Amino acid sequence: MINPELLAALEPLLDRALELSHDERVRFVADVRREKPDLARELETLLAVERDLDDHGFLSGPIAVRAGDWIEPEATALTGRTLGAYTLERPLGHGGMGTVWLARRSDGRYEGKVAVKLLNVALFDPIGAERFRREGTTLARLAHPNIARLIDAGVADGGQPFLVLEYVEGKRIDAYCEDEALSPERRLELFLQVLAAVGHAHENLIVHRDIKPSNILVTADGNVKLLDFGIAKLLEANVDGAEPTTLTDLGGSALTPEFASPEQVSGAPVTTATDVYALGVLLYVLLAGRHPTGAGLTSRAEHLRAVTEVEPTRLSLAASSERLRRHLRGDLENVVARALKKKREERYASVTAFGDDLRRYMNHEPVAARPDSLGYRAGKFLRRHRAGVTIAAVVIAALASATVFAWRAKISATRQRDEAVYQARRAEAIRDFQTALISQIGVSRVSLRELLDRGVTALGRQTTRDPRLTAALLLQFAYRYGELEARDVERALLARADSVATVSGNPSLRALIACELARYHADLAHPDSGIAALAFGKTVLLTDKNPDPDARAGCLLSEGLLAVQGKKFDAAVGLQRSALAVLDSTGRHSTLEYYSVQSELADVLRGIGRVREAVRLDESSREGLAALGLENSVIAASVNNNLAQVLLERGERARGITILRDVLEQTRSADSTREVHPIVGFNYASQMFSAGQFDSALYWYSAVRRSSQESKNLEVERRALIGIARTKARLGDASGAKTALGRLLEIAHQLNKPTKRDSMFVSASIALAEQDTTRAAQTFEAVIREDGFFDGKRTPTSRSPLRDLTRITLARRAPQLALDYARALRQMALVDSLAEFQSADVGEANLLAALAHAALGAADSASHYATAAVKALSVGAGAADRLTLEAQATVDSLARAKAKEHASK
Amino acid sequence: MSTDAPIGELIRSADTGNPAAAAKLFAAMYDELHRIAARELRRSGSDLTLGTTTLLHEAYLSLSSAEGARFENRAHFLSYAARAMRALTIDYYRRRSATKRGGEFHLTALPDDGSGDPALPTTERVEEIGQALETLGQVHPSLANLVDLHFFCGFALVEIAQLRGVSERTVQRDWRKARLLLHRLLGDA
Repeated sequence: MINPELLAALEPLLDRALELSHDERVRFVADVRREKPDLARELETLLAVERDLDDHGFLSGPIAVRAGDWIEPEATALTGRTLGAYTLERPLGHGGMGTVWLARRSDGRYEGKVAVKLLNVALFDPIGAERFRREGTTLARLAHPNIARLIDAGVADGGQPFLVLEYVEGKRIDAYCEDEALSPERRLELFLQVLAAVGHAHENLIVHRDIKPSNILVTADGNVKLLDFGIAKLLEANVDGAEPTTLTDLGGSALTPEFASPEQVSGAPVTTATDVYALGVLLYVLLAGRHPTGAGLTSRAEHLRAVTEVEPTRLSLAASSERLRRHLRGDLENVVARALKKKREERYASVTAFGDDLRRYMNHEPVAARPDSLGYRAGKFLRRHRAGVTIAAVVIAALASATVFAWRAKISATRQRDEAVYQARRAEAIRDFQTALISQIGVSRVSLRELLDRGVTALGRQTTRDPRLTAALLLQFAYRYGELEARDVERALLARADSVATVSGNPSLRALIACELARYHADLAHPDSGIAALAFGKTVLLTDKNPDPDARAGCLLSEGLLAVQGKKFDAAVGLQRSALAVLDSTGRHSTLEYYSVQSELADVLRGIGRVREAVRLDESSREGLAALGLENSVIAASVNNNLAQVLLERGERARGITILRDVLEQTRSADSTREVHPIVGFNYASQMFSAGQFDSALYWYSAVRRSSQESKNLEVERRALIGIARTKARLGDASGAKTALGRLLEIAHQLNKPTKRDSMFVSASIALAEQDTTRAAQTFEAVIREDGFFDGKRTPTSRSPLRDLTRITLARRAPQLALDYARALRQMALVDSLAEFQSADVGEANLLAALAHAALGAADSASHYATAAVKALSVGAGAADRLTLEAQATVDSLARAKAKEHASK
Repeated sequence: MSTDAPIGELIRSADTGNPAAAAKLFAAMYDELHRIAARELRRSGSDLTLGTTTLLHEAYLSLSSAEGARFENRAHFLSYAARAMRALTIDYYRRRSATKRGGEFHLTALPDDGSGDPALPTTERVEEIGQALETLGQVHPSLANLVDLHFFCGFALVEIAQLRGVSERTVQRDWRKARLLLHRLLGDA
């Protein structure tokens, strides 16, 4: 056994040694050995253990113990304690948030008992207390026999927050139904009471957001009482065991996956329809005894995915017995199914409507919910397997509308006849082709890549006699492959098109193909080959006395692209405008190709900073594509994405997010199995992450990753993995984050990309999740140092880490440094914004500055910035955004403090 | 309360280093924690999981509402209570193996959201840790207190840093030291 003296002597040595590097330690131990060899030996052993300490797992986590029921009950000590106007009588129980006591009003004003919930959080943070108080006032408005009334909410001296609630003695609704072995009718009756409660709240514009069995009690006389109404919202930023600092604001809100609605998972705003969904799940569970989509699933990510992608099993099929199945079949399951629709618009519009339909069922009247007829189910089945079909349709649409050859001007009669024949044959070929594709699909799910592969094979088998047609089809395929970055196939197809064109001897055709080849080379950054091909194309084109407008346009575009690469942006703009003019002159103003070119021009303009022109063009493309019914096309998604990005860069988050979400929802509604557009999905996920909606972010990042894996796009997968790693870290899954990081690094190596910043960025998030603020701060600093921040460089990618770093710095009580960071953020945001009070980025920076000023004791400056923050955030992020709420709470809290000060003077 | 002197006096006395007062205060804390745990168990019947932080919180409220009791702040309270928490946990481990009943009552230092892996040592091990901590506490009371706070009470290192008014780095280093020294005291290979 080690003696105390040795122990005492070791500690300072250990202290010193732990600070040293490996080599230095060796030297240090040698020094010690000279004086005290025993001590040195001990030290050496300890240091040897230290290296493997983490692997040992010795004392790595907090302890847990299970004890038996031998513990004798004893009298209590808090009895008689007063809290505000209430006197505590005896404890009732223990919830996730804190302990509940039975209490009564000290002055006897309110007859009867109350339940006082002592929250396990010391709200020493004045902003938190302010928010808590305000929410309490809102919730106290609810008065309904089926709602456990919130009577009061307060914060006692010393920061002890408490809620005073109506005292309810009862059992959880699911347990009650089980224990009393209730018939389905009785369960429905109980459920109607729940509906009444939620309906009342909706009338008062309060959404519960957290409906689940543990929040619904049934009293001994069979009455339902709903608990914790909106309290989830109330406690959002304060649920944490510890003393909350601004660090908790870095945490987002987590959902209960089993009862989360699809829109909650995808990050759309919560509405009363969200409660309808949760009620649907509840009813399902009460009737069938199992979960509609998540039965048997274990991981959080699986649950979330099931909510949005898995169709609920028909209620009757989920029944546990034949008798129950017969009971549940028919209209009842239609009603439940309607409440569980993925799309909000398809559910019951209100809780009242839900209840009405249920009552009709119980009275054997016809219900409003339509059954999923066989046709509809078949339609759904087709939809699921029609991935290939839909994409084929897109390809065909592109083929059809991008008319490669439209001889309009100055054509002779014979040519006119030829043209008609050509068009007819073209239409025929397309139809045949389409049939061939579809019939080959069968019932297996086909990815775009596979589909294209099959298409090319089919094209090979079908020899068309018209070289123009063959070349046209080959070109289109080449474009699609190019979009998927399958460059070798693209090359091969272009080569084939080239030989077809050469054989045909048609100069315009040869020119067009040559210019497309030039484009291909330009895309891959081989300017020399590109220039050569372009030169050839232009020369050949000159030999045609009636050059085809498509060829002319195509060559102008390719030249434009090469100009962009050569950084001759103004020239590029001119060339692209000329191409558009050519298309215009042949009357092809409103076609897919036209808008495609227009959006490319917008890209270039954006690149040279002519953002407003770009926005105008994009808006025109967007309208035009919608008018063509092509809002689901890849180009429309791209255009919308670009519009949204501009908005987001300017700090107009609310508008930008809405556009992105619309695109995603439209894609989904067209075909629920269709892959999410990776760029849009990614940008949306990033916005969800910034908004603290980590579950939603995880869902979308994962969807993007799946999409990129199917199309084998490594770059997108890499970026999605960064998102996944950071999100998992923030959701507390450090090992999941590390796994993602590992894969990420592999891919980065494959792509020959530098990995330093990515891994630092992820590590910072992991450190944050592990509450290691020091490491997190250091790592975030390293990330922005890498971006050149400390050398005065300001890049947009620094904004996200800088925001987190500012929050951490505030939490670590270094307000002056935090203020510096906040100022830098503000500068960056102002530069990019259109107007200060429309930009959420400026607003957020103002808020951070306000918090820093407040911590420094400069109350007036703090007020000034906080007020400005509220203005900007209300517009830029929306009134319901958590940042807006935080800013408002800050303003209020500062005002109260000031009032107090004045009063005491 | 099983003490004869009011809590407030005991605190004042223990603060000045009076060992008898410190012992009595310890006893009072222990009793209070145990009482609360028992009450919770009676209330909830089956399947209760009680967080140590909750338990400490309740005890804090209860003791600070007693006549004349004055803890300056949480840190002050915890400097005494953490050790009582350790003793309580070890006792529960002992009693568990004595009765050999499965037990529906869980006392846990894990965070409320259910994340984190619990350390579930054997009773012997827990007792050994207790003894080692006693030894360590004689020489380095603050390191022992750190182990109590982190391992037995479940406070995160960053919270402890705030509590003590030092940097997180310092606490992390101390934690490492504590683990190493305990490891040595337990004579592990």
